[in-house]
Amino acid sequence: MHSPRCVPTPLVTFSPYSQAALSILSQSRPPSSFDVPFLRAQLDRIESTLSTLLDQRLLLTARLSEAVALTSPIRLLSSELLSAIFIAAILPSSSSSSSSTDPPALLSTLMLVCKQWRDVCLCTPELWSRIFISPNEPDSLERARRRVIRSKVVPLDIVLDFSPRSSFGAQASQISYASKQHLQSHFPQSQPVTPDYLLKSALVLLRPTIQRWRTFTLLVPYRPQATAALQMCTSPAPLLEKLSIQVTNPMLHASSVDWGAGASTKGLIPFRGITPRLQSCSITSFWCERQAPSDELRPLATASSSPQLLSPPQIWTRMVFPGVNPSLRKLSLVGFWNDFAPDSTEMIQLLRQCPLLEELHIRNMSDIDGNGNDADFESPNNGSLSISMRYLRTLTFYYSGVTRTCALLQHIHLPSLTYLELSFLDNITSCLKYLKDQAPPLQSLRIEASLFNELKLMRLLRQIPTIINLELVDVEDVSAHLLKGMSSPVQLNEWILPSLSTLNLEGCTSVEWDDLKNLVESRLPSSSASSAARTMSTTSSSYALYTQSRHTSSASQFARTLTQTPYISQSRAHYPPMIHQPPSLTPCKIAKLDLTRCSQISRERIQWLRMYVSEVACKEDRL
Amino acid sequence: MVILATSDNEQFNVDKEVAERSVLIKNMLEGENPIALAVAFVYMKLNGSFIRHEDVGESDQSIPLPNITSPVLKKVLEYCEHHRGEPLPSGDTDNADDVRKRTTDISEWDQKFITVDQEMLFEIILAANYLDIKPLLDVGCKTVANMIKGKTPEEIRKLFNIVNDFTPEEEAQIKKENEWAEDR
Repeated sequence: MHSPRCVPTPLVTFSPYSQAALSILSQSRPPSSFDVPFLRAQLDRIESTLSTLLDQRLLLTARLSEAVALTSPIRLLSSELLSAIFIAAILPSSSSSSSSTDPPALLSTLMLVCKQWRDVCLCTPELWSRIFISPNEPDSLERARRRVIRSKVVPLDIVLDFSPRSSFGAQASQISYASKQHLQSHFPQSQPVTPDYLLKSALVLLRPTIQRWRTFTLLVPYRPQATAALQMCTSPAPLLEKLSIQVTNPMLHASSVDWGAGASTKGLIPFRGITPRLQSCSITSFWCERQAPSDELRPLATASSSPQLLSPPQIWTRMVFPGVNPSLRKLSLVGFWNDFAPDSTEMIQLLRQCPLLEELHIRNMSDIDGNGNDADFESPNNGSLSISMRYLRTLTFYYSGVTRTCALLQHIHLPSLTYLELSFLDNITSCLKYLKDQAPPLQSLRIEASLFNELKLMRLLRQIPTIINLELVDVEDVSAHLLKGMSSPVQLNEWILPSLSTLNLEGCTSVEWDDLKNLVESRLPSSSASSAARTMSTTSSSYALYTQSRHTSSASQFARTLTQTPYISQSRAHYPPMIHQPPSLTPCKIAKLDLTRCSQISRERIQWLRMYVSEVACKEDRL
Repeated sequence: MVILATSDNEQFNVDKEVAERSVLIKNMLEGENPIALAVAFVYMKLNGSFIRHEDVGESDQSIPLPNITSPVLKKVLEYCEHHRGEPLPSGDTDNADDVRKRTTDISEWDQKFITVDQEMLFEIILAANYLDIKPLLDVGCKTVANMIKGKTPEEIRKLFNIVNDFTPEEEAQIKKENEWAEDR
């Protein structure tokens, strides 16, 4: 080691030749008086000297760089600290509000900096814990093999992306020689190297590491491929926290997937159903054939302390969602059609097995037809079907069938629900009724492309004063009356949605300017005083009108009477019971307003709104 | 109050609550790490730079910090003072979730605090590591990580004054290994 403070031995020595050459050049004798060979010899000597000096210069420069590098502050850091820095640089940030907008550093970049960094990278298993295999990347299998080795014993995040965008056919022929070598070391040479073959090879490679899997994402175009892949996952996955299975073309079938065991879903229980740490599960268009309880399922029935065979819901649960366990926090079920869509009983059964669920997303399912097991749901007082999901905070129904949605909302008690989405569900008026009965502490409510009775919606909103964010997207039933209802207190100091700060009316073309303006003005702090004064004279009448119109067919009648009829005295004894509605003298100011595709609101009016609302969105089309 | 003595013989009077942001100091004060204290004392004694008070745990105690200079300790104490009273991270450092959470964001104050020259930055990281102040260590590591992100190997070398000591063959081998890799 060289100390930067040591005085280096001089490396450059000037030869007498260089001095002589310089003295010759400095002489001003006429060229004709020189001997040509002598001059050439002198020039050669100078060239030689220059070359030597240049070499010495290079050597000195290199030594200087080394000496400077030795004083570089980063050399103070130990390998362990460098390792921690690399992990921070490579691992993706979990928060979108990250202060740094730079993309994560590439492992290859770090390895190319210097030998020390390369060695640190190679000795940091966490940096090799993500394994991605796709036909799009010819060397991905070989790379996965390296990562399996270098990750040593740390938990792995596995992604097998064989979705159609990976262009199977085009890429199949590009699988590298190294990958073929690896493949052929595991499988007969006669086997053609196709994406199916690559998928199988990937699982053969990764199967011994199942005990280390932390997340597993499988994207395949056809259901038999998913089945065949999951059939290879036969070991318990004690560390698995997140499971995602996505079939992109569920209605189509692969030409052939023959992995020996075939693609039968009979008795399919990936990971032997042992996934004690599973917290998030997302299943898209992957299901198994409905069948009578089979021999394979009998032990499960025994294991679950039921002496009988599994019931149909249990079968569905086990087969569609085999990793279900009580610790599950997030569940997403997407793309279940026709007979493969779970009925309400099955859904309840499923939820009953996940008592700690915090997020539930149900998307794209055929609606139930009211036959079979769902006959039980016709009885509104069927208490045995009701369950309480006390930790459920986020609930999404997106094209999930209004019958199923209503049945679930009727029978699931949601004491902690803060976000609810009801999208593409036809007429959701019944759903609103069940919600009103429960009055969950919602903070966000989103309704999109669905029909409803506006009065029922207003009654629901009145029951849930905790709502901060209301999104009504592409709903024709939103009219001026809803906005009028929210623009003045319905009772002394009682506003509908007093905490509302974000209102999304995207695509609601029936909303009129005057009502929108009134709504914004009524919730401005400056107008609250005058509004309060006005309230003293009109509040009682407003609420009286409201109670009077409760028996009318729509909110429009209520709103019409609200604006046209003078004060009418009414006994407070007829008022509906107040449910957790704190008194609110002044409602919150609306801070965010989305009027995208509301072509009836002109640009000038948008500008006016922007004077009073912090953020107004008004794009013509959704991006 | 706790007295902290730096390698350059400066002493800092610090609130016990602030000093105990350091797990090392906390353990010393609780008598759980007497070896560390003894080692530090001997080191300072041999260097003739420190005279220790008699009893650890008393109000006039001094804790020697032989690896930390006074400017660095001043910065570290500024951080501890600002984060006084915040809950300390759990001791289970093997928890992957904790590691992932710790490697995400830097608060605005922390960002401003850590905007220092490279030498001081690395000294702070070393001090945080020595004193076992995990949140400060994370801030330092994340800051260096952000400096690395989006840069080429050559840019990183220039930034940190690192010499490329690879032979062309070694460099080609690494590039070949990562030819198709996207480092997901």
